[in-house]
Amino acid sequence: MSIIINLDVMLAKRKLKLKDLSEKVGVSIVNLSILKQGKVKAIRFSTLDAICLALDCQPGDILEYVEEKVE
Amino acid sequence: MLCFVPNIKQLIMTIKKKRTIYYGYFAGMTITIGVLSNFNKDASYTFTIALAAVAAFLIGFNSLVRKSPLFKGYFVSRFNIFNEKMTWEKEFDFEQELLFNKIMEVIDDSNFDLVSSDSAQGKIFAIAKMKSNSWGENLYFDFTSKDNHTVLKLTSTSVFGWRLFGDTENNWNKFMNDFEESLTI
Repeated sequence: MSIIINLDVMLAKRKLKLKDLSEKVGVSIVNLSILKQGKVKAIRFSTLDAICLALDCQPGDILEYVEEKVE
Repeated sequence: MLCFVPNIKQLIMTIKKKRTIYYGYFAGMTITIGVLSNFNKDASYTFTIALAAVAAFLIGFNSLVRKSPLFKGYFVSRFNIFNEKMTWEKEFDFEQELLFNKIMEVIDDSNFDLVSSDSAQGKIFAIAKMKSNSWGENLYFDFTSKDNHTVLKLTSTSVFGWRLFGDTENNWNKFMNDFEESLTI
């Protein structure tokens, strides 16, 4: 399983900085940085909801599933 | 809920019990034998009083200087036989700066009090308050970059004496649990 986080792409599209999103969503910059790097353990629906609201996007715009190639 | 399992579970955790605990038992036995021999000989209590005075002095002195980062060497020194020291190491799949900031957050939310931090040098100094079974602890976090990973080394020292109730392990486990939980955002 490989989930790609496209948070930085959405931030760039909305011309927002991580700090702005942090203030809107109420999640620390550190946690958003960790999310951006795909190193969080899990994401709450409430957080996802707040991010989608702040970025005016769908969950699929932030999260993407990419099938890993099995050699 | 989506779960991203970082490499934390695969990371190495090493618990190194310092020799100090054995020195502690040795010192404790020496003191006990000394006190008992005094009782048996019906001699003066000078030795006992001297020991109590030394202990009282050390507790007082250590409590006074514990919050000073300058005394780190004193508290973590293996020659300081009057306190217990334990060290843990864990490797994280985070860049140093990110892990540093994350640990700072976890400390803020934990029962530890932050004393000082230095992001450039990768050092955090926190303390655990005195409890009924402990004189308190000093916690020294050291961060070292290793490729894209960061090695976190925690040295925990008691302010005075040796802990017998697994308090240090509990603190470390609780801290790591808090850290893991904080990765759910």
